[in-house]
Amino acid sequence: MDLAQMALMLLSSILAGFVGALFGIGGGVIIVPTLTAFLGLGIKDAIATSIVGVVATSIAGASRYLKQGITNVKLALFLEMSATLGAMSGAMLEMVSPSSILFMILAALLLFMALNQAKTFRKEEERIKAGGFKGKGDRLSKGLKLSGSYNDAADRVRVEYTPTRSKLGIAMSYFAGLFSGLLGIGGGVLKVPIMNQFMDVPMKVSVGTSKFMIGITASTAALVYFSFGLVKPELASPVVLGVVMGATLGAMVMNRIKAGYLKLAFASLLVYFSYLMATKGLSLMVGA
Amino acid sequence: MKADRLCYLILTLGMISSASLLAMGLALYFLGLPYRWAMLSGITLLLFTPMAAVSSTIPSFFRGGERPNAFVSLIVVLFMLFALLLAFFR
Repeated sequence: MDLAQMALMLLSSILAGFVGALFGIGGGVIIVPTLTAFLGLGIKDAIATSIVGVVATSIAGASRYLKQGITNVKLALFLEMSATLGAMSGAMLEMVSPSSILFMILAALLLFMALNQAKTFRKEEERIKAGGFKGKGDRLSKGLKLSGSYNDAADRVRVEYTPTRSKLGIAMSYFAGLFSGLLGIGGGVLKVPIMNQFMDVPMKVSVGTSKFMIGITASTAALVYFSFGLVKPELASPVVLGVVMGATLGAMVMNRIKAGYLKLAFASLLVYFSYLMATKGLSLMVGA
Repeated sequence: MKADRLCYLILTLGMISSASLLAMGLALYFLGLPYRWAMLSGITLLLFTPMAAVSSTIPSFFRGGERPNAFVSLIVVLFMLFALLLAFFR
């Protein structure tokens, strides 16, 4: 590896970390294609390097969001219970399920979530200005004290919220984990809309909480890759340093963006992911 | 100490120390000196940081009288350990 290659890895990792922190996703969708297409790495090396990068972006982003009071640790751990269980079930079912159909289902689901995000972007802004998301909550969210508040830097208000439909949230997190395990995709792209659309959690809290959750899931997978000697430290080091820089920057910017615009940008990202999943599904169908 | 604060401290400490070790490893790599020890220690530290952060919330919630949350954290840690064991013996 020469200096030019390292500079390219560092730059793409900074971008991955920035986008990952902004939207609560892992950033593997940027790291893996860069490593394979521009640096000529094999897909296995790229995935092993990327998963370490995902852990790093999660740690860097989540630590900044925790400092800003945006990440809800209790909510993250509550949803992570079923997400981890789902990921384990997905990994075990991997061999027996027809991936092409699953990719198409996920593509449709992501498109539905994208439309929902786009439709409700003004509502999010109005609710923030009107004093927040403080609903009644349900028994589970009250019992686990999942409510919280954060300072919205863009609107300069304190937003209070109480998650609702906790049972639906935990069930959907299981399916988010299941899709991650089955199809090898990061869970952030599903976790953010689950919290925001179904559990009535503000967009920024969903992003910050998802960022924390991703690290928990990815670190387990990364430890397995690492202990089997699949992680090359010479490749992982510049990626980690890049994503840490990018995620720190992204986490500083996110709270300054209006929540409505963040939702719109996230909706575009979901459309892109939906397209990726649909093309993968179609190529598998044609291949079969 | 509150769970959020503890998580923040552990994540920040993990991030800074692992990034420092990895940066040192890269510098040693370009200087042609033995570098793998620094990189491997940095990656190990990085990958155990989330588990350390989640584990730290168990006593924190318990001390704060939030036993259901302590139980939730414990389940997450157990699932993480179980997933690791499952991957090794698969």
